[in-house]
This record gives sequence, C-alpha cells and structure tokens, in this order.
Amino acid sequence: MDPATILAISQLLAQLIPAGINLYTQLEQNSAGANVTPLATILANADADWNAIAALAAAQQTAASPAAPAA
Amino acid sequence: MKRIALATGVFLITLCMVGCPMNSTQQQQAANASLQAATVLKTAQAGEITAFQNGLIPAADHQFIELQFGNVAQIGKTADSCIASASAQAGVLTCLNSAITSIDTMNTNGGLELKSTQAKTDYALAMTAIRTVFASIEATMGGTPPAAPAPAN
Repeated sequence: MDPATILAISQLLAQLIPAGINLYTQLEQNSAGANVTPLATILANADADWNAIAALAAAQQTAASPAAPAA
Repeated sequence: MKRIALATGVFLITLCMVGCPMNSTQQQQAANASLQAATVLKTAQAGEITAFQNGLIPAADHQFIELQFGNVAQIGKTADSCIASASAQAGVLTCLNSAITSIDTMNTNGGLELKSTQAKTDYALAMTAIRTVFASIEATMGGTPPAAPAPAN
C-alpha cells in the first residue's frame, strides 16, 4: 500500500472514531433511560443530515463535471 | 391454576416476541442508527472531498462516489420514514435490514465501478462504517443483520 493511501485512510479513520464514540455515548444514555431525545427530534435531525449530504453531493458532482467552468 | 398462568405467560411472551408493539426506546435506537450513520457519512464525505482536492482521487471516481453518497442519503431518508411508521419491533428490523441490503449493493457496485485504489478504499470504508452502525443496532434489538457480501475485486 502506498504512503498516500495509508495517509488518507488514517485521516478518514481519525474522523470516523469520534463519530463512533458519539454513537456509543448516545446509545448508553438511551439504554439507561436518561437524557432520551424524543423520537421526532432524532428523526428530524437525521433527515436534516441526510439532506445536507445529498445537497453537498449534488454540488460536488456539478463542480467536478468536465462541463463546469474552472473555479 | 399455576399451569394456566404459566401457559398464559409463555403465550404472551411468545406473542410479544413475534409482534409486540415496539417501545419507544427501540424506535429511538433505530432512529439514532440513522442519525449516526448520517454523521459517519458526513465525515466520510468531508474526507473524500479533501482527498479529491488533494489529487488523491480522480474526478470521475469523485463524481461517482458523490453520486453514491447522494443515493445513501436517500436510503437514509427512506429508513427514517420507515422507522417513523413502524409499529412493531419486526417492522423496524425490516427497515434496518432494507437499509443494510441497499448499502451492501452500493458497496459492491462501487468496488466494480471505481478505478483508483484510493477511491475504492475510501468508499468501501465509508459504506462499511455505515453498515456497521445499522447492523449493530439491529443486533442490539435482537435482529439478525444480513450477511455482508464478499468484497468486490
């Protein structure tokens, strides 16, 4: 595996680990019955995140298109 | 009398296991799975964009990955709607199973479409991470996540 790939994977893992810790914390809180966020709020937050991802993905596709003017 | 009570208890427990109305914690866990999967994908998306901007991922692969990220977002929104409307544990497990199966298919297709090793690695890592979130929650809720497909070469 070349150094650039190792670096990129390391960077990605470093970004993913905090998300995993956040997940664990939330599940722990929910399983203990404490600090439980209402279902509608969780789903609304999830939907908002998915929408943001979709919007950024669409923008990135357009920006990387050969027909798009250079930035 | 004890036998009747025992039989009734077993019957109720069995009935509950196959279709008891889901308690809010289970539904919230499933919703949290979607929220955390979105968090993972947002992070992976930022990493992929950075890798592309640094010249580590070709433009065609970048476009394909972002297209697939957009598709995962649709899967996530579908899962959210599914979880919101699920009235029993079996229903929410079906929601999670459906999301996992869709992500597996996208992961396999990505491995076949992507050209650069960097893009393949980043993409597979993101998809596997999202799958793991959904599968972990499903297992926690007593479900059996679908087996992961063999990685594409």
